[in-house]
Amino acid sequence: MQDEESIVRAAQKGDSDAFSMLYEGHFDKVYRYMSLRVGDRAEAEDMTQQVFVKAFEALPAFKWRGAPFASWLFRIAHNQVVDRQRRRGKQVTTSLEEVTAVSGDDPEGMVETRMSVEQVVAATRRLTPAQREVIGLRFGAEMSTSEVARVMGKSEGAVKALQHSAVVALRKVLMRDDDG
Amino acid sequence: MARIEQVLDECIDRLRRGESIERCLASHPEHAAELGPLLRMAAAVGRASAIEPRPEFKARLKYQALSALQSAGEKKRHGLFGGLARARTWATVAVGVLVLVLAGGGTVIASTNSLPGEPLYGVKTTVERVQLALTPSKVEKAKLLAKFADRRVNEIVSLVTQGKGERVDQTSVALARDLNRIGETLSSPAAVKGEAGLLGGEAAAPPQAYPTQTPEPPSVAVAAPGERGGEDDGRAEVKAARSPTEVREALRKEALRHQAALEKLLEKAEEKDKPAIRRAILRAAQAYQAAIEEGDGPRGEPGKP
Repeated sequence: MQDEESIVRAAQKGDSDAFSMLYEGHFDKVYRYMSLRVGDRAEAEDMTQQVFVKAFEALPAFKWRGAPFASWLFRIAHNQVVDRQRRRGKQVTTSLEEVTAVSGDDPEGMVETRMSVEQVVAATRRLTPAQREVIGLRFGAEMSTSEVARVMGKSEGAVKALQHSAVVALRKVLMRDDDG
Repeated sequence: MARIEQVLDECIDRLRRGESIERCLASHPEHAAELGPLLRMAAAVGRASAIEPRPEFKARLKYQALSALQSAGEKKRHGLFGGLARARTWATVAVGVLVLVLAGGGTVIASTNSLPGEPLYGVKTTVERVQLALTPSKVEKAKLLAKFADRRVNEIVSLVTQGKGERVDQTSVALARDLNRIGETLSSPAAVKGEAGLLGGEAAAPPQAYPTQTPEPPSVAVAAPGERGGEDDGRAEVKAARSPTEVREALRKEALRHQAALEKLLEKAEEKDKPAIRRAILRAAQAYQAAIEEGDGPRGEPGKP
């Protein structure tokens, strides 16, 4: 099996198989990340498309510095989301009433609860941008904390703190029937 | 004692590897009361996030090589210059006629094989514009534009093989422009109306008498590896098309043939030319998609089954 560096280098030389491997290896994660960040499915598809457009265009200039390819790809994805927010001019927020709370009858049984992605996205709109980014990268892209730190340009400690505060806040929003 | 942020992070990773919440809590009894609800929330978020992209979207995007942003930039430029181009239509025809009269048929024929950047290339493109302006039928216009698109791909191949790769971008932009005009032409009400008319035998013949019917250079450069002639070659279908639907069907084959030709070119090209060829592939894929889909009835809303 080829290591990631040689796959990236082959893709840079126009090897379509290598490009396909990179695409197949990361597509679903980029899509999930975008779904968590933007919520709307059509828009998530559009944003995913834009990420791969940029990645394809910038791939020849990509310099391998030992960091996983995903870090580079998700920096593009992150920038896309930031650009989108900038274009829109203001943050899309959700009032607490718009978030469908998870059933509060059995909080301990929540591990069995099927929360929808729409519920999660609506709840994440109550978070800070940095908290949302951590949720998108950790749970959508399934990145490690060190990868998230690299993408966000923060320390691992800062990412862990953001992750903790984000999960606490999500629980507060989604379980508000219990916690207030 | 480890901080709760650290423990939560560790346990999220362990859940991802398949461990149970209970096992994580057992490893950190001092945090269990606080950690349990957070881990249940994290697990629920993880499950909700495990959504699958639509397979057709994933496949289409892979094929199209992800060119939306580039084409958006091109569309902006078209928007800016579109009005100016329309205003210049008659001036173009007049200048074109003058060029043809002054240059004579020999020059026109000589220009057929010219490439971007060469002295006679201007004659070639002027002749094309005149042909378009003098073709009244929308279907025939679309067919003519498809033929021009084929020429542009041939030109890209020739430019690269002749060491003139710096002109590839200019040519691929022209290729995309020709293809975009096909979509606009076919989606116009006149084309749709014309389809019924054509079935009734109203088809307008291309202007045969005009001296712009120059011999077409053989399109061998565009033949893709392993490509069969005949049923996979959209050129004959473009020529035979009598309705917008038939033009679109032919374009589907042409899109695949051109894509294959450009990818083959990419394989052989020198490194310095590859970025421009990649951009050409992206532009062509996007523009073909738009040409085929535009006016092809209301598009399915993405994201909805």
